[in-house]
Amino acid sequence: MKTKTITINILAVLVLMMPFSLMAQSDWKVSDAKRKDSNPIAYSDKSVKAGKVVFLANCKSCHGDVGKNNGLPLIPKPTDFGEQAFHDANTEGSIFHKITDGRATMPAYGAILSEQQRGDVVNYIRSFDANFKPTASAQVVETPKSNDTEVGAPYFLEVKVDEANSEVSAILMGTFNGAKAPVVDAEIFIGIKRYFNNLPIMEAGAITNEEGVIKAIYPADLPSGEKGIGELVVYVVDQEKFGELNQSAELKLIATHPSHFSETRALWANRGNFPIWLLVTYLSMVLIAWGVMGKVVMNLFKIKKIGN
Amino acid sequence: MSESLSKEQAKKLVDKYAEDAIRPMKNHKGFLPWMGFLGLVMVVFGYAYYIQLTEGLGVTAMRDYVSWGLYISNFVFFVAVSLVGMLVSAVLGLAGQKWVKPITRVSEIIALGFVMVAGLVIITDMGRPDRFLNLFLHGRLQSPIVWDVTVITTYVAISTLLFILPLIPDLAFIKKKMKDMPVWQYQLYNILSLGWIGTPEQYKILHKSIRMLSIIIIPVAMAIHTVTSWLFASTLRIGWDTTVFGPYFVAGAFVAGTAAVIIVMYILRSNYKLQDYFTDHHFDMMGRLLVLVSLLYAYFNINEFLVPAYKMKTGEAVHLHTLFQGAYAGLFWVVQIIGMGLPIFFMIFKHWRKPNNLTFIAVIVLIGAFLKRIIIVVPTLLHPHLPIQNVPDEFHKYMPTWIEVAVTAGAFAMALMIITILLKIFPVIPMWELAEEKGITEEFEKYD
Repeated sequence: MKTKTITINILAVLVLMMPFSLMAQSDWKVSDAKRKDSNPIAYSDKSVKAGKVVFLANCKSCHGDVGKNNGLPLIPKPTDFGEQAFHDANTEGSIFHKITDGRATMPAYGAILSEQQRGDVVNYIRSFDANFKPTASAQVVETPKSNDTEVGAPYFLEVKVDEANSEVSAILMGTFNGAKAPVVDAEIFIGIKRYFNNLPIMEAGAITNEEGVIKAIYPADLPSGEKGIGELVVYVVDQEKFGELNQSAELKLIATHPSHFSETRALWANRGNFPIWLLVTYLSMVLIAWGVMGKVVMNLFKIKKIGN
Repeated sequence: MSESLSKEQAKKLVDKYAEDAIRPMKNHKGFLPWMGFLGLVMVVFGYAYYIQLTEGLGVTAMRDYVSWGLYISNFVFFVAVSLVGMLVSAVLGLAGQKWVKPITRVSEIIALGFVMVAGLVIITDMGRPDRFLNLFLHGRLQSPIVWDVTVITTYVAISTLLFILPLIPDLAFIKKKMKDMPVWQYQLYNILSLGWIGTPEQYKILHKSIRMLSIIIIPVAMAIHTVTSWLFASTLRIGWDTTVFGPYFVAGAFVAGTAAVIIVMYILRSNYKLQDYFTDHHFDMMGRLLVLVSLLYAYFNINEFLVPAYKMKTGEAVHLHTLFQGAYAGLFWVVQIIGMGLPIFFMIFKHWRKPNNLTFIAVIVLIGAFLKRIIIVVPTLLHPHLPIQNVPDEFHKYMPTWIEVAVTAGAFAMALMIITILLKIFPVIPMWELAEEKGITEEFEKYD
């Protein structure tokens, strides 16, 4: 038994040390042939935007926000793609293959994301490379740059609830030349308040569109108490840029809580709703037992009386 | 045996009863060292419990997975042993089994000692015993815990009455017979004997009262262990989620209790020369009784495991695997085979129902009964319904800390102390009942 535990412990330690040993081997290099591969998806503004959505949904949880160096404290540490050194050392091909094949704690996304999605992510990552020059053909298809970079503080977050369609829309506006203008490509969290955390209802990686709008459908049949009211929580994720922008709203949900169960006299109901049949059974059993004992004690007094 | 005993023979017999009953109460050799030992255990218990009270239940090995460990196993075991009072004095007594007469008081004393401590053991499992009162102030009457508290209190009261009532004529007798006892003891006997003068009318009332108690204690004792089993069975948990738990627990209680009585009988017999009361015949009969209740228990064991093993629902399969082949297989098979199967087999032969051999078996059965409670409580808790992620390794197994062991030892010491003191103060031989059986009640009451 004991040796078995020790063996398991040793194995566990070995498995846990694998990432260390891999890190110790060398930097993560892909073969030369793969290095020279080009990204199957052409660089374009549209692709970068799509890549951002995929990145937020799949990569952000470990790598953090680009340029903020706030990835998870894993070993080896997930790269922050804002670092120029990364871009200098990696070609499009190597980024694409690293995403596709994965290594150690990094999953192989070849099985999870389509080629299009992986290519979009490469383009998104590449957009942070200061020395990156998209090919001429790519520049042609590039759409005119949106004005989001020029829209600045103060920002305004607005929430609209469409009860008929169970749809929530959040609109993020900023100020441009003294007038309100939509903020594009901003990540916004939309969720429903729970006891310990919020239940996200937006699509993972969703960002605001050209109108600064992000939409989400909420499940109206969430367990929601007797009154069927839930609390909607909306906030902009990037606090550094936008500041603390929160909104909340009341959501009318379908009252799924079967209130009549707690109101009837049931075993699981509260003290006041103790079932009468059980009360009668319980009390009569207690009374019978203690009644018999009372009668016996009376008999004892009788015995004593005779003795006197 | 016959009513034709001459006056002289009757007097001689009463003489003998008195001598034999008073001897264990006076013989102090070994009493003080024994109590000293128990006291020492209690001191260790006190220290351990002090640590638990000040530092919290974190000092035990109970964690998120196994939140009921040794303490609840103890509780179930103590309640189980205490049921023997009902089995011997009520069930066998009412069934007209005359041979149990000398054993009734032993079993009542064991019942009383163990059920009193059972109530305390459950408090050691509470992290905040100061909130115990909340159970009465805010308890829901729907809760099996509240039923448990009620039924244990009731059983303590009935057991106390059923212990004291048959003592009345004996105490009146001893009051006259023991001249050199301290004043407090005389006062105690004087109060408890209720001015007993032994008139036929008093006898009639006494018999009637004992009979009433014997009848009422049967459902109450059944209830106490059924409710204890409901603490488990009404929880939606693999391994406990079964309808057989009530009778299963009661049957198991009879096994543990009978074994305990055999052990105490043997200690009294060999230390105080009470061979005339706890005869080979009594051991033989207790052995038969133990076989009977063990077979009953085996039947419930088969029910408990065969039905889920036949269906093998996923959760049950995991649980059964843990018991049959997994981490608890060693303990499980030891308990089932050595603690139950082999004793049944051996006790079928008369040779193994002789005092020495039977006591040996009873000790093993009692230890098995204790371990069985751990098997009921712990392994099922190791498989929670909700998978919890990133659980620390120590949550996956349970091994009691020294604090839990010390508190457990303290509980046993407490029960043994109560039993020892009761045996010292009160005559363990029911003299008047034996006299009555011999038809010499008159001689017994007129004796001086």
